Amino acid sequence: MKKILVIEDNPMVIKSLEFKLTKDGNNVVIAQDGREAMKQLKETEFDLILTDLMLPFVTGNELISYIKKHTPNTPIIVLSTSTQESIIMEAFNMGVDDFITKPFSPNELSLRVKRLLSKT
Amino acid sequence: MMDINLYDFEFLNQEIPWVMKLNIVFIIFFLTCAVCFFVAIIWIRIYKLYRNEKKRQQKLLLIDFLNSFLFDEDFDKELEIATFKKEHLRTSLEIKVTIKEILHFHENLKGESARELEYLFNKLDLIDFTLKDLNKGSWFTTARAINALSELSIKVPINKIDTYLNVSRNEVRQQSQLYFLKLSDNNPLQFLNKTVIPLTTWQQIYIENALKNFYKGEAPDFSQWLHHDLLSVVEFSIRMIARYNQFEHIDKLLPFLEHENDIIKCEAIRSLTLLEYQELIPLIIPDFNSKPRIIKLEILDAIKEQGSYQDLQEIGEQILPGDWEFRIKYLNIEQGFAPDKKDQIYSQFVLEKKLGI
Repeated sequence: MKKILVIEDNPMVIKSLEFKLTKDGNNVVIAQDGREAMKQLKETEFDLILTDLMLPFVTGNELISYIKKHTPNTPIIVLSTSTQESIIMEAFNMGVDDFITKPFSPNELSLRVKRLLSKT
Repeated sequence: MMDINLYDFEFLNQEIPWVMKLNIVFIIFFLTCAVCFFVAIIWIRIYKLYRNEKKRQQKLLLIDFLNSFLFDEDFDKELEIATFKKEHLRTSLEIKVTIKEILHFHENLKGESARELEYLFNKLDLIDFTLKDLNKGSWFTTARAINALSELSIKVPINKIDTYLNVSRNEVRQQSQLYFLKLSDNNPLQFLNKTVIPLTTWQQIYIENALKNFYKGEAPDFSQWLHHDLLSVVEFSIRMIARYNQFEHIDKLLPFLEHENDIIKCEAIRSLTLLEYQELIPLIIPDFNSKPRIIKLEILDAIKEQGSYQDLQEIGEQILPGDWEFRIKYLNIEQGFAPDKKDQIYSQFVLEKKLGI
């Protein structure tokens, strides 16, 4: 069972991601803000991280830098409402593996997660 | 001492001074009011808590139900929908929370899941409830109902919505405009033909935004509204011709350079500049000084974008020496045309200002 950290502050999106990814056979851990995510990352090793960019306390970019510094091999998928090319490019330059914009298709997200998990 | 029993109103008939009687009546009256007020506050508070708790429960139930409906392959959709409808859609509050939650899910999901939510909305007979809301009378209920219909792409007979295109509330008008825009297959701005109330600036921005983000068909021919009765629609159409690069309508825009309304003239200059119409500058430069302020500023902007230094100098002769608003703008543009003279232009400007020319 693969371990996925979902960092998101929208309760509806959290529940849907948790439901869908658990149904796909993963172990899902939720963090509702950047601080909580950092705490989880210190305590546990994850196979994949799914994160929003707009988060309370710590920005998405700060969080991505933190993840890349501490667990450089863990794949990251960004799930964000932002469609601005500059933001997407910046995320990829920081080393994220995939970028999905909201509104998102849960089936497509599930496929992208599976693809990245198969590489780990 | 007088023996008064407050529970026996007979004391009011006793021989006590009328001032005392009046005082007692007032005391009873205000005491009753205070008690009623206090009870009402407590009752409203309890009712609100009860409603919030009901909402919370319904929301939790819906999150589970919707997630199972969308992602659980073992979920017996037809049976569960029927059960949910029977057991959890009995009150108006339950229905309202359900509609809100489905819309919330729909906002965040796309693809097959979004289509499934639209199907569920239909299956739960929430369309009927929404249509009833449309006619309830309060503007916010109507706006909310139209919003739900457009968000979930639910097509209803046109006459049910187009009656709201010209109502007094901005919010309702805007929602009905968005409804037509989002659900249209080929002519998203057809509602403009029925519009008789001027478009506000915000509505124009909303329509433009919705055209870009929600409408997937071919861009409409904006020139069809150039002779609309409403100037706001004409202004919007002129702007859209430029935004959508409809070069074929340049000839139709030219008469608007002589329009009686200054805002329309400005919009025409701006659009023709954006469309890079090469013959524009000679048409707008003559009689610069006799033109209104906003037109002059627009002409200077047009020269900056596609005019020559010579065009600018031609105007420069017409700008009055003490007219600092135009003088500063002129000098700023001049610096762009003659970068090598930048310092010279600046020192001349400082000198002129010092001398109060």
